[in-house]
Amino acid sequence: MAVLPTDLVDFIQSGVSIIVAVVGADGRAQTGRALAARVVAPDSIRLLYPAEGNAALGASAQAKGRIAVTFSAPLSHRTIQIKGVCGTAVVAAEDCDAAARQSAAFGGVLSGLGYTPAFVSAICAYRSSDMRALVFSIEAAFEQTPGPGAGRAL
Amino acid sequence: MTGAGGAIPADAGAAVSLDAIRDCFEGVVPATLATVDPAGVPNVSFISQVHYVDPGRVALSYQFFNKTRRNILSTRAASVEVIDPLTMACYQLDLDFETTEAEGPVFEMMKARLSGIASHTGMEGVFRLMGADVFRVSAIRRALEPRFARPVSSVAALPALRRILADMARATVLGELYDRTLDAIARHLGVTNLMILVPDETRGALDAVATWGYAVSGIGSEVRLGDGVIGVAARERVAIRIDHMSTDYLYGSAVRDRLRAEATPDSVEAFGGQGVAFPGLPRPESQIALPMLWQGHLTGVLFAESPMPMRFLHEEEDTLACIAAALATHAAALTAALSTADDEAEAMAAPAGAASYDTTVPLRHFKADDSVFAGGEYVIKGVAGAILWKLVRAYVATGCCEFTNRELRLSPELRLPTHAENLEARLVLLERRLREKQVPIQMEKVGRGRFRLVVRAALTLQEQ
Repeated sequence: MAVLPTDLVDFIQSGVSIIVAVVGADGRAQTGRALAARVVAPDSIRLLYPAEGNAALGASAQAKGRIAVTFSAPLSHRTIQIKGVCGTAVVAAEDCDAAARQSAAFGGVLSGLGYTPAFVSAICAYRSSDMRALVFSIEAAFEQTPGPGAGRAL
Repeated sequence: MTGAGGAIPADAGAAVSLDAIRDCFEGVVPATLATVDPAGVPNVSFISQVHYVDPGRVALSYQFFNKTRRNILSTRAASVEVIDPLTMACYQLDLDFETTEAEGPVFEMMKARLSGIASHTGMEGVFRLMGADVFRVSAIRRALEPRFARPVSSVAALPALRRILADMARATVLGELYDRTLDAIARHLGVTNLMILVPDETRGALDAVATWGYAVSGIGSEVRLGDGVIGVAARERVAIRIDHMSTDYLYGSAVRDRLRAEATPDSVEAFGGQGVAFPGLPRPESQIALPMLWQGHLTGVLFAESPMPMRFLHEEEDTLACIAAALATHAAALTAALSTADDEAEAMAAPAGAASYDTTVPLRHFKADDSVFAGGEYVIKGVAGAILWKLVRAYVATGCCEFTNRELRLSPELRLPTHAENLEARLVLLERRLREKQVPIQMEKVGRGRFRLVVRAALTLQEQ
C-alpha cells in the first residue's frame, strides 16, 4: 500500500483529465474514462464514471480486478498514474457533488484552451442517473509527465 | 442483376471501419492507450498521435522507452480509445503489434504531424518521434454514440474534384496545365495558397514553377530535398502534412540563410543577399505537400498552405492526392506528345542577322551550380541555368536563335535526367524566370517542340 502526499491528493481532486485501464476477461487491456476522483482514505480512491461506454470498468470492479488510472492537467501536462485493485461502490451524494465540481473545473480549463462549448460540454457531460462509482486501493503511483522523468515511482 | 423490386441486401459495411472514423486520427483530442504487462498489471497513458496507415492498420507514436513500450514489446497487444472531434463519438480499438518503423514514409508522415502537435501543445523539444509502432486493428467498438450531427462541409470534395479534373484536361501545354490546375484548386476547393515544384535531380532540389495566391510569384525559388513538408514529401514520395505549424518545418529565413552560406563568394556578391525568396506565407498554420509520381518517378510536388490551423484533413489530403496523380499523368501525356513533335521538328539554323543594340547585358555563368546572372542579377541555376547558358552561347557564336527541344534533350553537356518531362518542366521554369526578371532574352514558342530566343540587347558572356 502507498499513501499519497497532500499535493497529489489536491491535484487528482482538482478537476483533471482522468483515463482508466482495466484488464478484460481475454487478458487484453480495456480503456475507460472517469469524471471525478475522491481520495476517501490515505490508501483508497473513489472513482466516478459515466455508465455509458464504460462497461469494462463495472465488470472489473465486480471481479476485483487490477486497475490503472492516469490523472493529467491539460495546461501544465502534469500527469501521474496510480495503480491498484478495484472493487464496487455505490454512488453517494458527496460523489455527485465532487463530480459536478471537478467537471466544471476541468471544463473551465478546456474552454481556456480554446475548445468549443459543445466540445467541453460533451467531454465533461455528467448525468447523475448514469453515474457509477468504484473504489480502488493505491498500490503504486508513478510520475508520468511527458519527458525523460516519466515512469518514476512516486 | 437484382431488379428494382428485389430484396435489399444487408449492409455489408455495418461494422465500423477505420476509413469511417478517420476524423478521430486528426490529433484534436489526445487518445487513451492501455496496455498490460506480462504479470497482468494494466497501464494507461495519453498518446499524442494515432496515425491512420491503411484500412486495416494504425501506427502509434513511440517517443520514450517507457512502461507502455515495454508492455507492447512483451505482449504485442494494446487498446486505444479515440474520440471523433466533430461528433464526439468514442471508439475503442483492439490493436495487435506488427512492427516499428524508424524511417520511411509512415515514420516521416507521423514525424511531421507530431511536430505540429508538439508546437501546438507547447511540447516542442519534448516530443521526438523515435519510431512509428504499426498495429493491425483487430476490433473496433463504438463506446459512445455520436452526440452531434456531423457538420456539413462547405465544399463537397467529390464534385469539386470532378470539376478540377475537367479543367485540367483542357490544358494543351505543360505551363498551362500547371496554371490551370492551381487556378482550379483555388476556385473549386477554396485553397488560398498553392505551388507546383519540379525536381532537379542534379542538385537534389526542387524549384517552384507555378504559384498561386502570393504577393510575389517566387518562381525559381528553391527547396532542398528533405527540407520542410515539400522536401520530405519529395524524398519519401508520400503526402506530408502539418496541421499546426512547427519551426522544424518552417521555410523562410533559415532556408535563405543556408542558400547564402552555400553560394560561392562571387555569386553571393551578385546575389546582393537576395536570391529567389520562397514565396510562402509568413505565418502558415497548415501545410500539405503531395508527390506527383509517374511510373515510379517523382515529377513534381503539389503544395498547399493556409494561415488556418487544421485546414487540410484526411479528406483534403485524399482530394489533393488525386489531383497530384492526375497532374503527373497529364504532364507525362503532354510531354510524350511534345517528344513526338520533337522528332518531326527540324532545327532552324537561320541566323537572326546582325542586329545592333544600344544596350549590352553582361551574362555570367557559375560552373559550380550552373547559376546564371544577367547584369549582376541572379536569373536561374541548375539544369535550367545550364540550358540558358547553352542557348546564349549558341546565339552569340552563330547568331542562331531557334532551337528544338530534341537538340537539348540529346545534348550531353546538359546532363539531363532520363525522364523527358523533366526537360519540359525546366523549359517552363526558364521561360517564366526570364519573363519575370524582364531580361532582354525571352523565349517564344514557334511550334511544337521548337522555340525561339528573342534577344533585345548585345550580350557578353563570362564563364566563372
